[in-house]
Amino acid sequence: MDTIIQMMLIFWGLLILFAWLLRNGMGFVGDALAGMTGFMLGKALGPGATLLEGRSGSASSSWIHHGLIWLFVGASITFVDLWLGHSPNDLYSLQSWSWNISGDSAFVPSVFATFAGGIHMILIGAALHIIPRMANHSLASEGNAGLMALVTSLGVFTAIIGTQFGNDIGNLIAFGGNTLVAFAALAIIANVLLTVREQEGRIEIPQWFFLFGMIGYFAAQIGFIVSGPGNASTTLWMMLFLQNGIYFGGAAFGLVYYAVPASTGQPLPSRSLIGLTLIGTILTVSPSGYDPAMLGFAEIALGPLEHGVTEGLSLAACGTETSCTGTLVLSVLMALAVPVAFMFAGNVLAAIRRSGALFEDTALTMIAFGALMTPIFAVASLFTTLDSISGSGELATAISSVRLGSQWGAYIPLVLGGVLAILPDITGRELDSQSEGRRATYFLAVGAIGAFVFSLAADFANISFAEAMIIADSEIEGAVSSTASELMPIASVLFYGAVIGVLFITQNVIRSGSTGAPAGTFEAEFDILGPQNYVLAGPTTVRDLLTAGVTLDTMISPEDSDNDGDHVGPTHLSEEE
Amino acid sequence: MEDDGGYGLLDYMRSDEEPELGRTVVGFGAMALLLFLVLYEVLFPGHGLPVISDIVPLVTGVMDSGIWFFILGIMLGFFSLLANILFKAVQD
Repeated sequence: MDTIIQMMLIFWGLLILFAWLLRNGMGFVGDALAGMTGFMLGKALGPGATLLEGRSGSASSSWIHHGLIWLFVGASITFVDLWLGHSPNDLYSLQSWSWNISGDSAFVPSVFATFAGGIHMILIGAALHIIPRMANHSLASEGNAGLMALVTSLGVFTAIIGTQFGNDIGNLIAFGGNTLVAFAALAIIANVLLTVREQEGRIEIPQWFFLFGMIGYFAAQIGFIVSGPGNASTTLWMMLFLQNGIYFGGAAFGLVYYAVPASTGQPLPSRSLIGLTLIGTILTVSPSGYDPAMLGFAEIALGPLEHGVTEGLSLAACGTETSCTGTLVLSVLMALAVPVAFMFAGNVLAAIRRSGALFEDTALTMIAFGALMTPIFAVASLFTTLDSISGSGELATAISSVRLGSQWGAYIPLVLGGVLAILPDITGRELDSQSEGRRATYFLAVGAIGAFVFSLAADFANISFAEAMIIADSEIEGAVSSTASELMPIASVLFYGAVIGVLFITQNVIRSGSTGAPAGTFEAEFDILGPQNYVLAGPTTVRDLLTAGVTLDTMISPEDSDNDGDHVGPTHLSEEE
Repeated sequence: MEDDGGYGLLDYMRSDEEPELGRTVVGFGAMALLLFLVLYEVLFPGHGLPVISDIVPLVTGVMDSGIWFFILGIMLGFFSLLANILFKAVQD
């Protein structure tokens, strides 16, 4: 069987098995496992379990705060990486401290800080709030979850330090750091599963997104291991694709699908599209975030990969002598991921536009920006990824720019906006300053998109330059177009806007803990979300009421029958009409 | 005669938006520094500033790239975050 098809079957099989077990339980074995896992999360830790107070919501808040700080660190290192892209030796003076940071040496730490630290911690923080809230049950072990935030931060810090050694010992230290992150994630999964076990009603869709994301991350790793070292050159990249889509993409979808209705007080327009997004996230392969340079990260995160793994996936081209079934399957699955992005964006943008809170509320503005950019970058990523894995390589120069744009221009605003929307519910405090939050959103948006546009322009200048050299038959190793060398510094300086945006948001969130207004203070002023009063002219359905924009706080009253006894006509939408 | 409200000042002379003392001090400090630099240049033309002129050449080789200004901003941001966290921790 083709390696790609085999990997996908293992991945889907594990997810189906997990979903079946979650719905049907494991009988008395499940009780025994639950008891043992509960003991491992609590008493087995000894004094460690009592380090944190275990107040409700403290673990979620702790993960999110750690995540925001790591995201700022990640943005800063990404900026340095971009700068060193055009001036590789600008930090040579640090060599006097034996710190050699030049060329692309900031790339791997930027991935660790942004994803293993920032995004992963923010998503877990959101999961620790959303899953227990929808289960209507407190988290199985709040103290353990809080402790794991410290362990994860320690792991990420160790990994980043390890990457700076530039030798085998450093790589081993980084690998150890990443292992700590993985262990903490396993403890969180156990914690979350124990919580869901107590849920009496059905599991809601945002919960499924998080649960499939967490399990899917490890299911992809199992698929990689089971496929054996002989297929590692293909399955490693498949694993990264699947982890990107199911965990980072899926959990972000779940977060936004929960955050938007929770923040606006209105349901999302289409429940079918939500369900289709969930199924689509599982069945398709996301092309976003692919970059052959990620091999450097994978080699450190997973240990040395000496099984013929090359920089980037290279699939068999269709021909008379070679079978290209896997190539076709993967290409189709990637193409199908694009409609999923459109379904998600359409649903979310319609809900935010209907709420009227766009450009008013920081969180919703940021989500709207991310949702708008998601399908755009999904299409762009499809082009660059398929071009790269098919061996064509015509857009190889642009792949890093598209990755940067899709991560900072679409994905990170979605996650940040989602978490800002649920934060008042977690900490009990509103954001310290909405105006500063909006300003930060603009900084992030202009910074990320500006950097992407200029970086892409530089890439295309380089592509033209390379073609001109081929025509002139004078290939010069490492030569860069003069236009590109002028555009690249502008791209890196513009990205500094994203760094400032993340800094302002992080400061705002930290300050809100002490100076933010108590949550719900502004609720009365938030009448833009829907009508205060609604007059019923006759029998109607709840669906019609929700479509008319009625919220949970709208006062519904029947129309006076004496004044308008024989009124026949459509239901009044609101008193204003 | 106009009522001075018992403060010895006429109403229109009393402002109701006094700037913070800290800002006033920083403002005066900046002006004093500027005046000092101008005065020094007039009195000792062509001479380097004491102490500072000895320190600057030490960092010339280190901070000779534009990236350092951005890194300085990142460091300021990071320490302001740290200060916020510490403030929150000791506030109670």
